[in-house]
Amino acid sequence: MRYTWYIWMLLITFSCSEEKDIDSESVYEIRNIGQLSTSEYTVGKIVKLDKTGEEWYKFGERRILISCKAKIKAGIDLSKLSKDDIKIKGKTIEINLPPAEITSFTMDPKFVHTEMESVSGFRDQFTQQEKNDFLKQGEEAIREDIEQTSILKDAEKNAKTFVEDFYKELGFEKVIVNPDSGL
Amino acid sequence: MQDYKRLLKNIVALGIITLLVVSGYYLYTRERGKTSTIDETGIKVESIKNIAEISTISYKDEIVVDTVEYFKDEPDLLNPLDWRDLYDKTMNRDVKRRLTLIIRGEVRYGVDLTDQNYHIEQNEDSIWLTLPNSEVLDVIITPSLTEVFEEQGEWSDGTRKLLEAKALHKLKTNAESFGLRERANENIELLFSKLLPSKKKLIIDFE
Repeated sequence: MRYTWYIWMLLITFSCSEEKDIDSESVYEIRNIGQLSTSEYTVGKIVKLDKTGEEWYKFGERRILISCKAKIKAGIDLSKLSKDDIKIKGKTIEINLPPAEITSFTMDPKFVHTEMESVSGFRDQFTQQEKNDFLKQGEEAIREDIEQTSILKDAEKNAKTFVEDFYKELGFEKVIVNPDSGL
Repeated sequence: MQDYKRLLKNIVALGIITLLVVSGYYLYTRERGKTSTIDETGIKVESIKNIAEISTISYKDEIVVDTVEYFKDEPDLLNPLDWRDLYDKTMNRDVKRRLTLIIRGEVRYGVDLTDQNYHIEQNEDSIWLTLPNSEVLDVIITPSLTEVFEEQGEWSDGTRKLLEAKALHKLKTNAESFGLRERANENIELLFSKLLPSKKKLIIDFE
């Protein structure tokens, strides 16, 4: 009985001191793509957390303002073009473009700044984990809001212009570009 | 016998009071597991640019960056201020603070034709297309692709930014080691062959 007790104590001790393993092996992926980005928007957002009124039962308050920037590019995926999408008749070319989409979205940490941080009473300081969670929510909000701007319309218009110019340079007299827009 | 009963009652009462104080402390002051939801704020469009970038290779990688601070002195068992660090000193291999991030990022290669910096020449049977060389067009990293794997102790934004910068540098270095510029050029050739369904031979030169 006594030995069982010792074994249990040992197991509990070692299970508490176990460290998380970090996978240091590189997990990479190389992929062929074919995207033509034609419009680039830089947007700013203030990530705000102020729960002063809602957390009245807690001793002290926590408030934070983080400013961040996102660079979003939109354009068309040229790899979606099939042979049937390009038709040539003499000096006339007709091309059906795929729909415009967001091609890249990046939030450089260089442009993330904590503008204001206020913690009082018995409340905990903001951790880096929490700040990253707030930024994730901010990112999600930007992704939703960017759809309301004219980025996709601009991308479609610019893609049309680029394709027209390119084929005219090639010597085509008439270039008909049919964008696949629901815009 | 009555003394024992009274002692038992006192112990139980003390236990309940302690439990209530600790629960109250955690409930009313400390932050609980769930992350708060941020307030709604709009976005501000700061700039709009017309570009013409063709990306042909995407490289995705997962980078682990870590910073650790160890205790410098041996624990002083007679100093009550040292007692709270005893666990970390003895059970956590002397680690005082640690911040570990896992960053999943993407590097894209391709050609930037924004300034219409391409040149076309042709004769009866060939088309010569001169394009700028492939370059890194995007290094994509976002908070949703960043994971704070371990955070022990308090860390400043500055240290976190340094780790993120280190991860970005490693991401680009890893991508470069695969010679992806050449592969991006090859893919450009395939893409333009598809865009020019002509009987003429397409010859692409990279500047």
